[in-house]
Amino acid sequence: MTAEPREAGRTGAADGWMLLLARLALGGTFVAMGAAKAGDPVPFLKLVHEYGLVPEQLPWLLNGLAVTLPWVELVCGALLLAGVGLRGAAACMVALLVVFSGAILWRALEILEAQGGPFCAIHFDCGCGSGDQFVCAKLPTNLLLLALCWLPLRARRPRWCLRADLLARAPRP
Amino acid sequence: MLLAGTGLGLLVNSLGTRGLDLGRDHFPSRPPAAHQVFTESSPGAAGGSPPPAASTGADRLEPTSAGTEALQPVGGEALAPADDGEARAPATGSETPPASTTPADELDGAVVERLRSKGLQALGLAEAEAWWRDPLTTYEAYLFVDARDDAHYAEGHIPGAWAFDPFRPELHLQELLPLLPSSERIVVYCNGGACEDSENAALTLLAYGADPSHVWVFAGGITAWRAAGLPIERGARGSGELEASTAHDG
Repeated sequence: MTAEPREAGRTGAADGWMLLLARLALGGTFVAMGAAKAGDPVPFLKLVHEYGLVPEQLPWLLNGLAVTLPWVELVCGALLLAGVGLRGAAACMVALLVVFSGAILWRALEILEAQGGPFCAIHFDCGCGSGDQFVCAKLPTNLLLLALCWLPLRARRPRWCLRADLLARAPRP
Repeated sequence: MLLAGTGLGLLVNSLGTRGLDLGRDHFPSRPPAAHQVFTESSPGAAGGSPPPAASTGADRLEPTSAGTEALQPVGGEALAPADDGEARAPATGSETPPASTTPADELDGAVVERLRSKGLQALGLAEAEAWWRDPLTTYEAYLFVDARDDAHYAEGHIPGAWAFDPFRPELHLQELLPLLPSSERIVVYCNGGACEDSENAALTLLAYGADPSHVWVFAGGITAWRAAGLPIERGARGSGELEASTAHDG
């Protein structure tokens, strides 16, 4: 692979191996989590329902989220792994992680209010595809993934990508 | 990407065998209005067990084999709270329902309260076993309904129980529907405890014409059944393949 010229003020590593590692971690996580839920929407539907965030008068919304969210995760993860539309995929992941983490925190606080006890003793299946987890392990993990999203979001000359910028014009022959 | 994922998800859902009915409420909170046959003044309603009715019982869709005495709204015998506060259906079959044989502490209070809030009746392990051993189960006057998905059903279920996944009712409804009008007792169960699939299944059966006073939710579920060492059947209904660990006769 030929070396690419470095822009002043930008380190090559951030657009190279560091970005690649972040893509693998983020993309792999999202593909795995999405695949775990996409095959059968019913378990995920039950978990989303437990959050109580979707009005009962809108069953189609709850059902639609259960059916589509796993595939959104899959698509974002796959695109990031393949190096297609990096910023868009990362932005999508940021949005998902913010919403998921907020919902997990909300539910943890509800459980804390109902049952009491130490916050870090609270555990439940958040619907992320990784089963029952302690809140104090899940939230920091999500924060780490959010931090990793920074690399593909700010990448200017990402390496090892099929088409990092979907909107960029193809180079002239 | 959002559009792509959404589109893919909807496409797979519509084409796949495990798709969800997007327009259906898979978590009904109460029995449908057409089957709310108890008025606020009925003894059962005073105990908080049946839901208040919008009518006086004239709008039942299916007659029960017990006639209409189970549905008398005002001052009738519709439901008489048992000593432990649980409502019991009046005697409609060949035997008088037992006075509560379920120890007061066997049923989780939170589970019972959750069932009552949905207008459902809770059943303990002792009575579930007694009804299962009753010969009327063999003649399908007493039905046991497993509300878990097909995979969990095949792993092990109460012998003779019918499969009925409330999230995919179309899979088993044709088998179950003809049995509802003539069944005196319909016991619905899932894993027990926090599992609400049995409640969703019970409410769905009510929507399809089951008599509310004949439908019971076995609160302990298959977990309690297995823990008691009672028979567990594997595979299809009537396969006769019992789990090796069960010691009791079926």
